[in-house]
Amino acid sequence: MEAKRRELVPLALLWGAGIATLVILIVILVYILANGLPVISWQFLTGEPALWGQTGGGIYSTIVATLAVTGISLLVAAPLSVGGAIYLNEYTKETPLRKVIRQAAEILAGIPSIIVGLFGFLFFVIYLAPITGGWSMISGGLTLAFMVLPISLRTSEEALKTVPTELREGSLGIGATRWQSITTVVLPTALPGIITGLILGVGRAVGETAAILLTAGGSLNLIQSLRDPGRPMTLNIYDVLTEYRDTTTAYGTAAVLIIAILAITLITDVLMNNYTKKLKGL
Amino acid sequence: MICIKPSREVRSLRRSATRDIRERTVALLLLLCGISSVCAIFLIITFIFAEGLPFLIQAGPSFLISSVWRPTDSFSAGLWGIFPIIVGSLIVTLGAVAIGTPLGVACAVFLAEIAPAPVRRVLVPSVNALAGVPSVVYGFFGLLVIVPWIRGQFGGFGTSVFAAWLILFIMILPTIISISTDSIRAVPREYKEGSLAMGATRWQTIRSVLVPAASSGIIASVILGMGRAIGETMAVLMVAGNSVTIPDSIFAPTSTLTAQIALEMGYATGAHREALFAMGIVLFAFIMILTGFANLASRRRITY
Amino acid sequence: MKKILPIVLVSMLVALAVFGAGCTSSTNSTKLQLAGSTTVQPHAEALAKAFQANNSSVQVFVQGGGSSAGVTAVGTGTADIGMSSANLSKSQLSQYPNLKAVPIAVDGIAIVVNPQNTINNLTLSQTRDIFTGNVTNWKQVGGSDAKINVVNREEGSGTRDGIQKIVLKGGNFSSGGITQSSTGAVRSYVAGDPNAIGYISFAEVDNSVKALSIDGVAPTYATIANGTYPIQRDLLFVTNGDPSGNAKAFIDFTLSPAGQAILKADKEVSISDASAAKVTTSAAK
Repeated sequence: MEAKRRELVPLALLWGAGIATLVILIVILVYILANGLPVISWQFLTGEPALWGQTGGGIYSTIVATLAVTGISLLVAAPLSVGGAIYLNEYTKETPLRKVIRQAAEILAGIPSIIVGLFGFLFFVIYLAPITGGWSMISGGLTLAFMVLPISLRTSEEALKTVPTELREGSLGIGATRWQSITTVVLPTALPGIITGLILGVGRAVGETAAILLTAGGSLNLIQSLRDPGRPMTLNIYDVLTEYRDTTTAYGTAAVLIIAILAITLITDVLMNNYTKKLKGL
Repeated sequence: MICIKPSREVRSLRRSATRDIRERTVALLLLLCGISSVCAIFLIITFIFAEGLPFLIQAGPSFLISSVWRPTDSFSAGLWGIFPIIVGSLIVTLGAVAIGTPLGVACAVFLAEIAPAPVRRVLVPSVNALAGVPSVVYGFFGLLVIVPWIRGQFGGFGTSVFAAWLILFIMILPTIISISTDSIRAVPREYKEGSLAMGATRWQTIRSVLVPAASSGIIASVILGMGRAIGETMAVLMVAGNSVTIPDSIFAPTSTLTAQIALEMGYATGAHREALFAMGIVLFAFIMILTGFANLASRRRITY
Repeated sequence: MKKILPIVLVSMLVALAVFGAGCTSSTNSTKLQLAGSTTVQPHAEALAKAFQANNSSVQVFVQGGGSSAGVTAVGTGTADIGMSSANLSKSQLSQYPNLKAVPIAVDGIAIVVNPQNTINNLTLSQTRDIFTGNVTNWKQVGGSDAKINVVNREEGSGTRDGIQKIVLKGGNFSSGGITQSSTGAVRSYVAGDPNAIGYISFAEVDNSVKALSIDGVAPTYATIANGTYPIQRDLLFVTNGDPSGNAKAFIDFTLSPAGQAILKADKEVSISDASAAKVTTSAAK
């Protein structure tokens, strides 16, 4: 009885912790959105950026740059991560090779973005300059792929693991080859989980700055080709804020970014919920 | 869901040799995909070490111990001491972890044991949303809200160790919360039920049974959060002040390995650039040590 | 339904790839890349816009990064024109012996403080003491009793280099200051901190900060042009070898009356005005 009363204080603290976390998120989101949403207009999203030192102008070229680097990173990371996950889960037993690959992916996930950026600068901007065009969307996108790869590898593997073995065994039992089973049975079942993982990777790519800082250039011009330098939205926030304190554009860009990422988070959560419900229904 | 295609069956039985080759090719391609992560690490390590290791060797231990950082593009003309920068990284990281761990673990306990389902349905996506906010937006918030507040309340530059602590702890909260929640949930129900059956209250059960049982997972989450904090670049670059000095108070500015590299990389040439890569190696070493500890801690976790 | 989604995704990616590949019709001859000093950058962007209006086949990209980065970019071929607010150093010239620098304007460096600061003038030696750390409190130079918050530019900045040469006479900056990576960042910091002091291009001074007089001379277009304001340097466009092609066209445009008018409107002293004013002062002596 006495203990139950003494319990009130710790319980209140725990509730406080949960509420505090929620409040932190709300404060940050409200601050950015309250200042940024009014800035967003059709003209803001589609207009050309203002000249250096002047406020106003749009962020169209930054949106295109973000799409370009994200698209390139996904193009490279998706097949590699899904393929790798299929290999890890479907083709091998617990051999040392599997452990090495998994460990490598873990380490890769933990490498700070600035170091991946340093590598990207050396490898893509300088060493492979004739192919990538130096500072360019290609250099930025390929560098980002290094960061998306471990995330989608991990989530794809998880998705493949949740496919019940009975499905695989049933398919093999009627004479299908391993690859046939994978393409007709396993992959379709795991696809929502895999796509969720890829979307998470996209979220990471969209929000990345340090690696982009060193590899994508920084020019505000609209890219004409993927070998041109560009300035994705995250870099734009940093540049615009620290170079000439154009807080209006910075708020607007930040608001667009946050809405995009919140949408990605929401879609991922909904997809995952539907997916786990469907699996339970099996 | 299983599509039985008998015609393909019959066809493939007849051409088993080509099917074998196809299967083997596919297996090989998938193996290459898998190896891509290993290749990636190999490439990164090779290039970074190739650029930075010669400098590190040439500079010797004074690189890590000396406090004077005056880079130029020729090795002999410059002074290469990154001790204050290392100290800055450590202070900023440890402080963020010290603030973030109690709040994060408490929130994890709340989510795993106390929160009713509707609260959980709001809080879990919120934690995921916190994780998704880009670091530059956190830095933005820090620069425009936290730095002026600190300057007004406590004096000094405003861009300071304290500002970095405040922003970083928020950034590592989601890591600590999500992994700790999973760890606490993974404790077998029998532990909790046994404790409650013996008459312990909910809090006593949490404090004496659940948290200790989940401790290795919780510790792993904290160490991963530490790794995230020490590797964070943009937010720190915007709020810590970038002063290559050992801070004499938490309201003094400092620099971190990540921020210094990002700040100077754009224009560094010659020996200066190699020095920045050497700093990258030092950073990489710190993180490897941390993740090594995390692996040890999680391996000791009792698998259920 | 599940089969449609991957097809949609793949086709989107393919479309992006095709867009990228098909658009690689832009060859190097129509792309002009400038990189370097953040002091020069705003003016270069204004010049670029005017230039592109008359030369629609050329696309001018302007990037920051600091004076050193610009010179390196031009030396390694990553950029066509480097923007520098500092004269080429010996080591830069020995690394890239073919560099050619063309002065395009004269820029004054203003020492700025917060508008609330009571100080209006400093001697050159007082300024030196503040930035080397010999003087740490405003009351030592006639102001209120408060610690001086020094704001520096990063090492690769031509503006910082100018201060080091002219004000510090080669001495070292104290380590107690904070570092901001651009003119704009320094200005906004100083605007927000009553005890701050920093240095920015005169062209970037606005109402948010106060520019100090040095040895009694206030920085104005006239005093920079005739040399009486001591802290000034040439802004340069740097090329690897003699300028040719689009680079030459752009530099010629910058030096033309139209280009110089753009710079003058931005409070950068045009080359002709500067040399004319200096002739007058020396003749008057």
